[in-house]
Amino acid sequence: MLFKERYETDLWLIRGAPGWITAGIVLVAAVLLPLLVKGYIVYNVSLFLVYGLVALSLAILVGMTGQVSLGHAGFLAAGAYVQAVLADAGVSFVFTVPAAILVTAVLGLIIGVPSLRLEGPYLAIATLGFGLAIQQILNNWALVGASSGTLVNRPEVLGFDFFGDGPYYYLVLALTVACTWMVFNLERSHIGRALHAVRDADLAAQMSGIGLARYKSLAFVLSAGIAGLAGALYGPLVGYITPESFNLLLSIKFLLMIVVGGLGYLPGALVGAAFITGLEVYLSTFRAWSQLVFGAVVILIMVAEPAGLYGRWLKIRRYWKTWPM
Amino acid sequence: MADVSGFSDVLQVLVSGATVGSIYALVALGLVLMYRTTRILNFAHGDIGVFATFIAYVLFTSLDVPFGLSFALALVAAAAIGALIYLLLVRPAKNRSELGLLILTLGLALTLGGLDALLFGTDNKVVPTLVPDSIVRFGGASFSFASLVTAGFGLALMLALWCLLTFTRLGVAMRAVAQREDVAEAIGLPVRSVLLATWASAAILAAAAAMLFAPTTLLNPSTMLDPLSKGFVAAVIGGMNSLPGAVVGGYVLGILELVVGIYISLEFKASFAFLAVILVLVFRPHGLLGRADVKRV
Repeated sequence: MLFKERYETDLWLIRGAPGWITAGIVLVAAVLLPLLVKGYIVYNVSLFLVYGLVALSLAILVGMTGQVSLGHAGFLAAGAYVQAVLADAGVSFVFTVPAAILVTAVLGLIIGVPSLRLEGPYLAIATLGFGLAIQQILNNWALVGASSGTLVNRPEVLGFDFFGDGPYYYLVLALTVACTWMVFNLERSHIGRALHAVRDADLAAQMSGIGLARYKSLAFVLSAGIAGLAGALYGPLVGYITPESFNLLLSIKFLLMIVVGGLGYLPGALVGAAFITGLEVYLSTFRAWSQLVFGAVVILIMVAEPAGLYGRWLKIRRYWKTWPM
Repeated sequence: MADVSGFSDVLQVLVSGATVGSIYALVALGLVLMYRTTRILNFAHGDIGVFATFIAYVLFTSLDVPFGLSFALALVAAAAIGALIYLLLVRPAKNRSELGLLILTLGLALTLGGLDALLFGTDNKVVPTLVPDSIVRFGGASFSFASLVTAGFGLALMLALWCLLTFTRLGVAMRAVAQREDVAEAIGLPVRSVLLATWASAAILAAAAAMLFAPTTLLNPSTMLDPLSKGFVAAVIGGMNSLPGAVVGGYVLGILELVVGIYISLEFKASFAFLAVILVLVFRPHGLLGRADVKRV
């Protein structure tokens, strides 16, 4: 089962009994979590799920398509603010979330189309500029509370109150699992293959009939949309959003997540999100040392393991499975 | 709203904008020098500069070294830091992709920022200017003498870099490595030493920019965050592989930003640079003076 021998194995989302057992354990553990641990841990796991969504969205853009984005906090902010403003006007959560996804997806298109001709550092700085511009615009926009930010309440969906950390966790979990499943499916679909082709050799992909403009902007739209969904979930989770909470450092952290987790592997994005979120929560008890250690860990991973944490895990697994005795 | 027509106003805006612009240009120059030689988008550039500024500050306040000498010593220290970063982190790094090295510098930026906070504290410190400040009047406009010296010093450094790259063997070797690293190695150039020299020179530029910028505001671990992002914008507007482009981008950005702040709106000034870069890239995907890399399938 280690190497793919037939075409069908390449199409399976979950491979073999070990895969199904792992997936089952993870799902059961995720559902039972609020019953087993303290409230603040549930809150942080919800935060990880939201960040995991952003990491997945960035993995579509950077890992699958090879387009860099240093401004994903901008998409997260857009999603969070659209949700917050609409919720403030009395719109139900059932409609605010799709609206947030729609607005950020359009924003992704607006930023994606001019980015078609950009590559490498130019794209990185253009997206960095986008993220910073969004932050500055929110900072000066009185309607959304300018720099003092805005309060966001936990939603009530179809008469169901998601006020507590536990109930809201289930809402985030359900949407995250659904979205993760969609993204994993996307990778093995023809769209995923086209995006991979664009990443590996865009000229060759174009010659094989893949419309570069179409797929590059599609990657931006999908990525922005998922980040918008994450934003819509992020606002009610933290309860209070300010432009400052969507700063450059946050965009950088999202990029760190997918690279530290393992660039090009979708599970790597989730591993990286868990690792970075966990590391941050753990280090916050050390206050003064936290930033130093955080940076040092990132450097260590970059110096020692190019494939990231998930890539290292794959290497270890292959080593054990091909052990000759 | 100021009167646009007066000669003195135009002069005032041009000179004040050029003063800010010379900081942006210095930062952009360091970034471009690094990028075209090593293909690294160096996000630790600002933090290297801030670290050197802290060294100058400690030398000046705690050890009573004259500020001019502290300034010079900090430049030397910055060169050493740049060289050490290359030797200890960049050279042994296994992740050699452009994105991997970018992430490495991001980690480095966080580490240096954390180190600043631990060693020197996060409170705001006042850094003295290189020369005592006074007001100079010329052509009906008034300027701060210290900021004119800042602009002049920036220009001198750019000239020095140009001389290094044009007239010295090291400079020519640096350009060769920037063009084709493999061929440079094949004809026997000591590529590693050249890369080491590049890191050291870029670090000196970073330190100079930070030490010239710090007196205009307050010194804390995140002082260079704004000039660094503007420096990136200037570098990209000029073209990431063009040194004259970096200088032009820096000055144009400095002046335009001031014009927007005065004549359009102060709120818009903060986001102007970031919207401008997107706009420039729509029409010139490789910056104003940059050239596209030739690519083969």
